[in-house]
Amino acid sequence: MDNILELKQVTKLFPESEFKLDSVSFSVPYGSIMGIVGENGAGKTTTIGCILNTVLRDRGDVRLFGRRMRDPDTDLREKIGVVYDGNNFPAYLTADRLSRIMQGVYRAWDEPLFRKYLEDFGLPAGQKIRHYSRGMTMKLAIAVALSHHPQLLILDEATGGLDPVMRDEMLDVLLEFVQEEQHSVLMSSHITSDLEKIADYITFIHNGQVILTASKNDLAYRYAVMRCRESEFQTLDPQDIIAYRKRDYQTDVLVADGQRMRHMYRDAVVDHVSLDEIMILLIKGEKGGSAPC
Amino acid sequence: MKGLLRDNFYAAYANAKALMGILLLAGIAVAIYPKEGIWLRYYMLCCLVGLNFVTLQDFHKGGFSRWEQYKLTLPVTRADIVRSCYAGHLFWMFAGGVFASVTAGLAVLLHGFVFDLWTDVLLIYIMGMSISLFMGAIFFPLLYARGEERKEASLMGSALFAVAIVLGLALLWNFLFGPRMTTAQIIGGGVIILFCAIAAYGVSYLLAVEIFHHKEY
Repeated sequence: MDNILELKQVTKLFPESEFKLDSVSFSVPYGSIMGIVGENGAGKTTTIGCILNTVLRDRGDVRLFGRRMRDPDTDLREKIGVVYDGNNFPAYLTADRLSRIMQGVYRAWDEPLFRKYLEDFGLPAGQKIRHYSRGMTMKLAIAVALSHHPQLLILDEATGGLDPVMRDEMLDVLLEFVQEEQHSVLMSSHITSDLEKIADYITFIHNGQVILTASKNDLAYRYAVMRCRESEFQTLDPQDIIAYRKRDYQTDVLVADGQRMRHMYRDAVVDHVSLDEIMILLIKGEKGGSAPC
Repeated sequence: MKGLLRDNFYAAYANAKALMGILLLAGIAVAIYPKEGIWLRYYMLCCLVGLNFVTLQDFHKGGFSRWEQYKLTLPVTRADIVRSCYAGHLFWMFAGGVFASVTAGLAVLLHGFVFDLWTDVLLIYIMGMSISLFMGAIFFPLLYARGEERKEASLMGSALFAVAIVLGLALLWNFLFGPRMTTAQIIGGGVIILFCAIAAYGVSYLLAVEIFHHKEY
């Protein structure tokens, strides 16, 4: 399968904070949505910064559309739409003026399409952005990101702070965007429910490291959590355990193949597992014998 | 690149509009009452330097937005972003020059030649443009190196240094050629100061591009 985006061993050290993005590797196939999940400060934004060259990586390789994106490669950036968390655009601009700026930046800027988005999203074109609500600024950022016909959308915590209705509207727009086979979305979020709704693949990042990458279907239907008593936990093969977390009366064990575990350990309770629970087990739990990292 | 120029223009427009309103009224006043050209000289210098000073603080006016970071994701190079700032700065310098010229022209139309010598007019332009160029030449690398948080301090420092450099060069020229300079020596001195300012501006651009290439958001 061809990938629209590939990261190999991307590393970045911030000497002042001693935070290190450590050998991050994953890829985003054409026509898919990849979600990056992790707690605050896990390295999601730094990873996106390394992809977009707003953060200069120390090592590793990033390929967009099969090519390395260097500063002069403006043709590659023509094909990317970006939405950051919060205010993407300065408060002194209006949507009208922003459009005039973008007309002078993007060769493929589609003014009628931008107007259509403004109308669909109910955004007043002549009003200064400082008077927009948070939801309106995010909608404007989406409209700008889509109005030059990008192939890859990169969203960094773009749904954070939005109410559920507005988040749902944004997710619908993203789903519509990936109807085209050549379109893909990379979306970082710590709101796992958003990614559960739309993502095809999920990458978990913790302390600057990728701790798990899997398709959402695998996570939803193959991965499972076993609720074990201490005696049951002792009988488990360590190679079956990705991570576990001891609680008062039971131990929650993350496993990669729930079906197989049901057959092997007939007395154990094996539940479906949510992204939230996977994240907590991977981050707060102990690593097992089959932990990916 | 055109889009970046528009962005710089919109950023500076509100402040520039207010100052231009004041300059327009002041311009009419000094054109009507030039008082042997003294007020007109101050006014012309004010146009050439003041408009530039006011608009310089509007570069990187993203405030609390992620606009500067966002620009790096647009299909422009980092050098384009820096170039657009320098081009915007030159634009406002020439806009100030237009104000100065129109007002001086109006005063001459109303009262005849109000200056002592035509070299006075030339030197006002040279001094104003040189101060503006030195100001930009110092300010932009500082802006990229020290960040937007220290923009005001960088701007004040740049303005003071620019005035000091131009006055220093003028004093040096006076020291070298004494009080009885010929017209050619006066013009020569002005041209050398302007040349230094242009050279500093060019070097500053290269320095700013280099600094910005290592900037992370």
